[in-house]
Amino acid sequence: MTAGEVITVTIRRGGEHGAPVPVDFRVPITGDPTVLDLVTAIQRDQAPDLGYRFSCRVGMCGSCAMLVQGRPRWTCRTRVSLVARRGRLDLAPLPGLPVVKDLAVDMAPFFEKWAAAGGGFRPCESGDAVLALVAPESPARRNADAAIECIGCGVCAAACRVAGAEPGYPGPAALNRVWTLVNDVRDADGPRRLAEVAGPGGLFTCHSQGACTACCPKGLDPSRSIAGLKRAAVLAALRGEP
Amino acid sequence: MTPVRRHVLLWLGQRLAGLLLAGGLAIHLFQVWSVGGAALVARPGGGVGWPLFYAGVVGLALIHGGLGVHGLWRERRHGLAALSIQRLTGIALVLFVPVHVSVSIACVVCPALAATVFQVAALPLHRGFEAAVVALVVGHGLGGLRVLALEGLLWSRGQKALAWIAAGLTMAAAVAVPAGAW
Amino acid sequence: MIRLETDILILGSGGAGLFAALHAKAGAPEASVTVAVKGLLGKSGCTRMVQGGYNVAVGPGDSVERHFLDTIEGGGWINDQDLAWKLVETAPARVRELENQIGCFFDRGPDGGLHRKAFAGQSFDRTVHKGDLTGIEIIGRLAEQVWARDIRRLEDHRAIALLPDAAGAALAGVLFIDMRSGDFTLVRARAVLLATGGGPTMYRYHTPSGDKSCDGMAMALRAGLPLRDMEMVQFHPTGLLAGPGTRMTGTVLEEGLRGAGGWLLTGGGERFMLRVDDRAERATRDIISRTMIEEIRAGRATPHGGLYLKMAHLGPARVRAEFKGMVERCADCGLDLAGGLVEVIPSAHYMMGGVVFAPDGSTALPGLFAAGEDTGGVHGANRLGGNGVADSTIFGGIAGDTMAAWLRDASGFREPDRDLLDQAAGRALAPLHRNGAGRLADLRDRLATLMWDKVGILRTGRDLADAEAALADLGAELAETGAGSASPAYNPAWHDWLNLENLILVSRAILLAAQTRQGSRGAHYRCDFPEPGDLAASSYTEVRLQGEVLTAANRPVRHTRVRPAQETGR
Repeated sequence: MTAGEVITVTIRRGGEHGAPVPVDFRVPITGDPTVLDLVTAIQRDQAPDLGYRFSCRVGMCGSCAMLVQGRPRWTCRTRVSLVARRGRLDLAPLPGLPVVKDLAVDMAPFFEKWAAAGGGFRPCESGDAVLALVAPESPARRNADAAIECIGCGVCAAACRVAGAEPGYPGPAALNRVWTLVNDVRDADGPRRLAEVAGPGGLFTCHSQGACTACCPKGLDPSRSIAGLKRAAVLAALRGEP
Repeated sequence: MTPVRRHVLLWLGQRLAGLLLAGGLAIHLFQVWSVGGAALVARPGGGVGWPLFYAGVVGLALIHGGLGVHGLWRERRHGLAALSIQRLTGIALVLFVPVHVSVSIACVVCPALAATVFQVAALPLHRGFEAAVVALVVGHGLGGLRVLALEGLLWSRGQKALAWIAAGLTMAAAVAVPAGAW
Repeated sequence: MIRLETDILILGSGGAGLFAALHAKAGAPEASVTVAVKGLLGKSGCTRMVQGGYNVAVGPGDSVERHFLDTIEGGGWINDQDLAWKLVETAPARVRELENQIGCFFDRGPDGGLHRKAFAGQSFDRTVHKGDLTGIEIIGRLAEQVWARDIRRLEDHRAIALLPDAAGAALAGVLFIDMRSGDFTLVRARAVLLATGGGPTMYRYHTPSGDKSCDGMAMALRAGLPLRDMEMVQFHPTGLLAGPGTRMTGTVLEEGLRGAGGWLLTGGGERFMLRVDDRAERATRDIISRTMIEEIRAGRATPHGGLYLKMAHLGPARVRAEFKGMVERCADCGLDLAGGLVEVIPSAHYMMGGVVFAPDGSTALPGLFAAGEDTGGVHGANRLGGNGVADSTIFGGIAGDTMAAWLRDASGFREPDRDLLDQAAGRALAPLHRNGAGRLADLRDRLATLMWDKVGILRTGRDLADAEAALADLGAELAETGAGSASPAYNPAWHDWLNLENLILVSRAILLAAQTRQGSRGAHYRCDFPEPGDLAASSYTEVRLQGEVLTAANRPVRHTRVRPAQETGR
């Protein structure tokens, strides 16, 4: 894929109600565009009402994720030259979420799961006056930092076949966040959070297939976070904790 | 006991039973390879050691397989999403093991039946079937050890890749060993 | 049209909007609070894009007074000093709140306390951060807290008009387009926060998220509110120059790169900032951006027409460790930030100007409150790096408190002026019935080129006059252009059109303010009036929309806390 070539982009178009239909677009390549640049060019020049999402355009917001060649990716940081095959590119909306239109999905179910899993910091009662002293190289900090940089793009949840099949399963992103909070010495509940996610339909639903880790654009390892939660939950259960 | 704790401990029980079962089956497979199935069934007056051993193995298999089937049933709506290699081999073994155990017990009880069974077992088709079963057991066992390593030891991705390579090599060995034993 | 009611309505889900929602809910737990955003909650907007960090005077030896003076000096003495004081005074408490209540986990120094890094234009290392992606940590944690509370979300809802009641006495509600269905939604509210963010995306090179289009400022202008300091558009010196045709171009490479000792080089590899300022690459953003444009215009540019950023002399390993996010971003463009040279260009970054507001968040229109980049006065002529996310979280929180208190005194729901409502709906629908969506991209490119060339970093009266006529032409052309599709449901062309309409209106405000300030301060540099003028007699510009006509005035700055002459005593 080099400048001057024409690429055929197949986009699965459709709304929440209509059955999706693949539509082909032929797009001339200029420079070394990202997939998002290509989608933008199609919307501007060929299909003004093509539904797609983006915001930051530089890998910080996680709005632009979609299926690129069947694999969930950020489109803003994925260069066409690295994913197109034989002059073709296949795009579809992220699976497992309601389609708003064409490539744009409603991410509310993803964040509802996040919230339901307890994926939010819970402050200690002790008040505001002081900040916790946590040395940068301490295990407390390193453990909390390992999985903290998630931007909530939904790629891991889209890659996870179990999350797609089990509606009640929190999914890799939410569990990854819970693992960070379990390790956060400042969180009021910390390890007590384990009981909230360890029950039926919870973290033990994970089969450790590792699709989340393989697809995470931030290079995080949600699979390992979930494994950490499993181990901690087992140790807690052996200690007789709920 | 809270439902959560019960759920966690059952999960742990399934994993631990699997780990012990892997050891038991390794011994069993070595026995089959070294003395042969017919000798195992016919072992005269071997004391209570081996019967106890096999009772234990069957018990572990019941726990491991039972909890596994329970999990499969609970997640039955997952459909294709849950059809990992681990689960497919597991389902196959759940179908095979009761038949294998029943026939083996029958052979111990009734030497006449054993003679017929071992005639059938000598057929080339059955040899192929045996190799497939060994591959299933070894594949399922190694996959289980891999998951235990990932979840219990928090192995990272590099180690996972290594584990897969090792698993592939051992699978090949698992097929080659019974083939060599003929 | 769908009609909804909520006690408190918040427009925008960046740092200001989400903080306001949390504080409003805490202050008035019984009240209904709704956050409306034109994209997804917590994902649109620029707080998320903050890289560098959060300025706060908490280090030993630092003081709120020093932070204040840096802010005022950086702001060219035209800040509203009461606003600036509120900022620096509240910052320490807000950072503690972010850590202890919201859950942000900022980086720590060797002693376990907050790590503070050096940022340009500051007398003290006071920028608290989480790696080089501070905003993701702040907005991720804030959004989590909002999701966990009983706060209503209107995602994919684009606000198109602030509607007062028929008497014009107070704000009655806001008209939205539900972008998913394309239907109008009228939300009546007793208190409304304008926190949509600014985002000078009308310039060819710009750093904010691509969906920002000054919607809040445009709505405020149409509602008759005064906007101050609109000529003050900050250009970030190090926007990534990845070539034309990619949205990556313009995105920012963080300030901390220069703070850590990065160099700017000409196309010929020569370091040039030392000639201009003792602080060299750690001078304020305005000085660096101006010098860069002068270098480029003098013909010392790189192949893509920018300049080089060099980090390698600090040691590639250190650069990779300290600026992981930036190194990865460049790597995705095939560039080696840690060991090689990366082309950069000043990129439109932040609007110091905006709605005139009081330290408690209130505006001239009762019932309307404002916070964050939609507002003007906090930063004067130039914002210090690290004061932006402080602004949005601090004033967002304050506005939330104020709105919760306001509910106790405010009357019930008001009925919006029917004529204004119909007008707003009619104006929004007009492009749907016209063809020409294919011309929208061309119009946007021409607007971007015009603003970059004529109303950019170096300005002259003649260029501004040229631009005035050209902007009027662009506006007229847009009015003839349509969205090319009558389908209103999630139609990006329609929203592009509405974005462009707002961008052109706000561009006109920037241009008029730039014509009005005949002198050079901070981010505003007039080649024909290069002198800053008497600091003690400083004035600020104020722009209003009356009918279709923008008017501007100079108003005196009141130095309520510190006068320019006192500066020497610090």
